[in-house]
Amino acid sequence: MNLLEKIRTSRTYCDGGMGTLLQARGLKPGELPERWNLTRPEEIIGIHLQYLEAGANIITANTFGANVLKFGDELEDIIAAGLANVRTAISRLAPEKQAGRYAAFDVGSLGKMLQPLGELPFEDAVEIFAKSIRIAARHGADLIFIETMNDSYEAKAAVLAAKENCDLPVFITCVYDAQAKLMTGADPAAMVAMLEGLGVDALGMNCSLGPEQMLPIVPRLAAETSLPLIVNPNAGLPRTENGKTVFDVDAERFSDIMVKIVEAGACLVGGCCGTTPEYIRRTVEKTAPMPYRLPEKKTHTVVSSYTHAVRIGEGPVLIGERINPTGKARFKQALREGDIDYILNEGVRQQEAGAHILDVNVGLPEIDEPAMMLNVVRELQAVSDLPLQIDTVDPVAMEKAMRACNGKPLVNSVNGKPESMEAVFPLVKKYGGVMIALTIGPDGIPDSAEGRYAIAADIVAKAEAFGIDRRDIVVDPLAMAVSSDPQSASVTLESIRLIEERLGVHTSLGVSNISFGLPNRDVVTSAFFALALQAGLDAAIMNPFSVEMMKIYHSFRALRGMDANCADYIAFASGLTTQAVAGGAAVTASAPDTAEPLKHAVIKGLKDKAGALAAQMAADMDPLDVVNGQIIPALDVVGKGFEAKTVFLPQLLMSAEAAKAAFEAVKAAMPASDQPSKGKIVLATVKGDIHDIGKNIVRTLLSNYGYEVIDLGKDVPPQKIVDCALEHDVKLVGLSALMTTTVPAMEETIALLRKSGSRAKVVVGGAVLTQEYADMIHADHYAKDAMETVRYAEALFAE
Amino acid sequence: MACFVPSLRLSAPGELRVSRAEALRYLGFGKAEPDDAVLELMASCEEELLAACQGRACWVRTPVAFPAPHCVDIGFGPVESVSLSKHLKGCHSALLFAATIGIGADRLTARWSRLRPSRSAVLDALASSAVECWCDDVERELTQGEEKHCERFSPGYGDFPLHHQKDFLHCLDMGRLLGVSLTDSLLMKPAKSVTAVIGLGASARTCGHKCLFCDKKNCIYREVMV
Repeated sequence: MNLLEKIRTSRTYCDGGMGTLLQARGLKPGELPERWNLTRPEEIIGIHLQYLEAGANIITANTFGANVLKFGDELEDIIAAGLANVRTAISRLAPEKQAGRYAAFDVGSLGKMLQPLGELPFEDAVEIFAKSIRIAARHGADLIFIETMNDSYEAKAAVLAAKENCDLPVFITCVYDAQAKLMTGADPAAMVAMLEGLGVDALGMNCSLGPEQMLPIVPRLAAETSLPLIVNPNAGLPRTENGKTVFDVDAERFSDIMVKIVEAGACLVGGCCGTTPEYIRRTVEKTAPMPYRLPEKKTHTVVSSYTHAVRIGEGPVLIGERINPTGKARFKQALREGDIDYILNEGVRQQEAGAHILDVNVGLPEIDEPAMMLNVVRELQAVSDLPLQIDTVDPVAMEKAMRACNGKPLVNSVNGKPESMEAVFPLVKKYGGVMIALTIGPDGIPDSAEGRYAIAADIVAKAEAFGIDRRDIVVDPLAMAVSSDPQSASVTLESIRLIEERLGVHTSLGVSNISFGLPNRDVVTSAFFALALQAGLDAAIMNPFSVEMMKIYHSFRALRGMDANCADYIAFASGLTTQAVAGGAAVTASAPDTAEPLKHAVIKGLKDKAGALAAQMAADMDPLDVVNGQIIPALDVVGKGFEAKTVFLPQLLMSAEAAKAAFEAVKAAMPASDQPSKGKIVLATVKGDIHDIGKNIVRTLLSNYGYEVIDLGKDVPPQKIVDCALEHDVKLVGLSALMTTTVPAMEETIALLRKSGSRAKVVVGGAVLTQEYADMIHADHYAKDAMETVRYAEALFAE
Repeated sequence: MACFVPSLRLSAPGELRVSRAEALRYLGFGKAEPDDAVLELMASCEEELLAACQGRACWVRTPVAFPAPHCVDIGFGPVESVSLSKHLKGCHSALLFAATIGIGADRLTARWSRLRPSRSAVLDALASSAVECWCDDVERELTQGEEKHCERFSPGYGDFPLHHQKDFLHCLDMGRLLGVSLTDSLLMKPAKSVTAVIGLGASARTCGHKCLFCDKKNCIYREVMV
């Protein structure tokens, strides 16, 4: 029987632990278990055979670590032998027992953390997995079994590699901890959303926990997935007994709990570390007579990030609209200058303000949108754990973003024109995602609700025919400016009702369009938001910084019984009063204390106050005088204090942040061409080193002192630093290293820079550096801390 | 070695803790007192940090042998190191130990490093203290009932070569059990992770403080002056 048919119709058993059994047969510490496929195949075949005889259907080849990082040129031999060993074991069964047995190519973690947390680029991970999977497919694997994944991004890389390089069924199990989270944070709902979106055939969990600790997680997975659920626990937790490590659950107890795990919804069961053929035999005996059922088909609409999922249709969902250049001069400037920090800050602030999803739109005619989109998605995922809404009309940018997304994104948007559906459907089918479907047809936007409904119905029908579930479609019936068409709001509201009732899909709106062309837009937008929510709107693309909008959101939830004990409303509303009082009082009350309130605010590190005061002052006087008369002198006071050890690192940085806020305010008040720059400085943490806190501190201070800092990031190859120094003809390069092991990379960078003919001086710093080291590697200057770097730059650029 | 299946211990909810005094030391405060703004920042960082962390620790027990002068075998073959041999003198066995507070701390410091560097620096210092506290707490449990034990000693201390991180990673199955991996330059990810050997034996040398073993006499973090 075909494997996919089998798992849909009857219980299928996986095998159990391999590593512990190999150790018992003499595998030495340090020896790679996969090598036994070639050197001691009979041992491996023997273990497979025992599992087959115990009743396992799916035998995972001994290929957990079979990747090119570990095996290089030997990879094909290792994998071929691993799969051949499974085949041989199956052939040794009596002929009537051979049916319904499958050889799985076992794919484990690469043992490298992916960027941005680690150093392995996502696409490199995909390619490493792909190499092994192509070999496995050539050598007759029946399925790809990805297991022991403890990072959602690595899981995505492995699944993509499998889907792109073979037609075999793809199963995947991840490692959850007792709090039901992956080591990098994803919960069951988030993993199910992403993995189902990517098109796996069965999913579940293995390793780390014993069956007892896994039991409560099973219903959580079953509540999310429509796919056959796999559960392969350890034989309990390893613990020390009389100096020996033992697993604390024996075969009898294990199989008793497996009965409960099956009752809770597991379809495929087996074991992991510490389990033996006996564990599987007893599990098969006890669970085989039990009735078989698949999880119910789920209908909820869900998107996810690398930590959690957001359901659309169970209370209003707020999609933050601020990462979008439309009508925002400061944002456009940030995009043109590649000022990613500004964009990231908008993301984090929206999350703090209560957004559930972040819309990402970086479309600007003069920039490379696909490259910028990819960069922003990657960087944003390092600072925010909200699901993303990929907002672009460029299919190339859309694909890059969906591929890089560490979760299941919203995709904004598709519409009723054939070319739009042809471009977007394949991407959603391949990468997974929820489409925002705009009710725009080949002839534009219909004036009537019926017309908009008809387009929505057409998109849904065509998407379903393409193999996209209707729960992965959210219709946006479009809010048009009420100032140009008095009926526009009514039509939109009626469209929401029709679409929700007749199509049974959820709706979203860019609500602020409604007030275009009117004064005090918040008033109209928020009133419309309330009406739309009442009409059944499920999600809104909106400004979470708008207090009026948040008032509607919170009161709607409280009034409609979505906010138990009105707790969220109370937290929000009490915050409103304190904010109003504190905000007003803080700026004025302290003014009499000091003749120079801005200077004082920067010294004390009062970020919000410094920003507000600087904005006020820049309106009344020359912005440059604000910088030179207030902000810089304040930074000097703090810098001197730091050197005299009366001010410490956190205070130095708080003050730097206050100065930055003040600069932002001043910058907004002056044309870009007048903005002062003392010169350019290149900063980098050298190749091999991934610690960048120190370098970032230096960057913050240097920018505050008016330098244009080109920050190349961490783990930067020497050539890249040299190329950048030459391209910008900089006077100063700052290099940082934390570990003695990476000082040679620093030396290499300096040597290469000297050879290149660059005029740049080199200042070095970092935990392990000393004056002696700096001299040894021919640096121009050793800075013991961030202030020292500023002092050196000030002296150098004054020359 | 007989058995390389390490024992594993996860922190219970609420069990992880930080040491503000340690964190202040990492932040360079020395004997100076932090002001209210710093204390407030620390409190809010502490809450954010502990909510994002999960402690994990694993260990195996191994015999200790001294096959040659300045050479010690702690289960994964001979280690050439004067300082480790000296440290483990008199020990008949040892615990190979690894612990982490997870990737949550890395995420937080990365998030804030670009947007609120002060927060990032304080989180980083608190996270360093948290993994040390977690190690102390697990170590206390593990060495209960032992005759005597040495302080933790890690690859990279003295002349104990850093490349032995790979042996720890393998022997302790750190990837699977702790989610810890090594970069090409042998740094651990998550960053707030520790590997160490803890010597056991009736005549194990103890000196009361880990700083006393360290040759880096000019270290700004050195707590105990000799």
